[in-house]
Amino acid sequence: MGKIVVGIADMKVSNNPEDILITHALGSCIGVAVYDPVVKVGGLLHLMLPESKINPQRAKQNPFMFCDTGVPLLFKTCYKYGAIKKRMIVKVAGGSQIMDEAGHFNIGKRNYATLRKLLWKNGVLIHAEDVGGVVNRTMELNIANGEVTLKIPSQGMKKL
Amino acid sequence: MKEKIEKIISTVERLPPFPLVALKVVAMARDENVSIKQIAEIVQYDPSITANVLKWCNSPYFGLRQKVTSIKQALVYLGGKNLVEIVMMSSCKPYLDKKVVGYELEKGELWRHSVGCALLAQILAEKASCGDKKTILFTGGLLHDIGKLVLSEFVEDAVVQIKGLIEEGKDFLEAERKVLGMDHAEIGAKMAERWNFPEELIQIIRFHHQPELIKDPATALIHLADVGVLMLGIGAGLYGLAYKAKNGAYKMLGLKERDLMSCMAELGAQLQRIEALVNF
Repeated sequence: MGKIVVGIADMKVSNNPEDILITHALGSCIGVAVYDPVVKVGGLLHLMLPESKINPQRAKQNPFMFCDTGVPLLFKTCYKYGAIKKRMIVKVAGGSQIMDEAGHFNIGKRNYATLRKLLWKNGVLIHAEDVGGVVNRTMELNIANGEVTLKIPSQGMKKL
Repeated sequence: MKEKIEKIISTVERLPPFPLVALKVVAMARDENVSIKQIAEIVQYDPSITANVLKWCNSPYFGLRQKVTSIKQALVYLGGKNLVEIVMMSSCKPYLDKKVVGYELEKGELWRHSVGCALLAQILAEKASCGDKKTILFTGGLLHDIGKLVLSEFVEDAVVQIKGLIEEGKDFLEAERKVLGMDHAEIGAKMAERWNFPEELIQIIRFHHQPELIKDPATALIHLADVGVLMLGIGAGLYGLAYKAKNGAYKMLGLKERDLMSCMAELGAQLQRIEALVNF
């Protein structure tokens, strides 16, 4: 009922059409919004880092922190509410990169590459995305209609 | 341009003094010969700071079962390290908890960024075997962006030009220098000098975006922590990732990207506690 905040390394799933899931300030982190328009079930994941092997102990405590442990859980939780994989619309935002000529600070790129690979392996398409750059993004998923809205400082609001 | 620089500097000269007790604690906490007891003594003779510190000690962040009513008790229950950090937080928060319009930071965002940076710098210090630097790192993390407080109004006035330069591929620091004749790290160092901060802390503030110029491990740790927290979008604001991350900082500390990622995961596990601190 109203806006439900998804924190950093957090996930929320809902089938209440009055809910809007929102996550603030995606920098190199990635927001993954999934939605099944038939049963009107949606979920939003705010993942921080690419692979759980970076810090297995933390991944065990909080699987939403990592792409490879968070994304499967996002889909599985939606299935529990009646969502079906082939109907799910997937939208992705974030993955910004800090400026780095030498290529030693690639967390944004790594997050995105890991996500693409994982989805591709599982036969899931990304329907829309807004990734990269040096900005941070706020992402909203409206459970009533599956609409995803982005807010970027100095660029305002836009639909994804 | 000269006029603009003078105007910015005159703003610094008009700043009210930094709380004296906090300053003494910063200076003392770096000195290994000073005992925590001496620090506690300084604090307890200042009733307003004492009251504030006790309020922090009893905050949910520390989750004490018993209410702490004196600095001595706080020292027993929380230990010296925590006490010094509380003194710093309670002194710095009034400055940093503000809305910083020029950088599009809502109220509380710069404070959240600063606390995040302080904690990540300490986590990284463990990894880099620099555990002895934890107190200066905490203070440096809290204060590294103070320059933004003064520069904000000037950035706001020149935001169109600054945005233009960033769109062309310049980083935020370069854009500040080009348009205002000064960047937030330099003006922050000038504030730190005016407030008589210890030299080590002035350096951290001045070089936190350019650790390669100083080759000081503490500054390199703050640089990596700042970059890490910005990548997490914590208090990033307008073009928050338009800063250069320096590989030299890794090299100086013997760290790699996967170490930074692992430490960011450690910070990630503390995010709820950080919220408790920030919202307190």
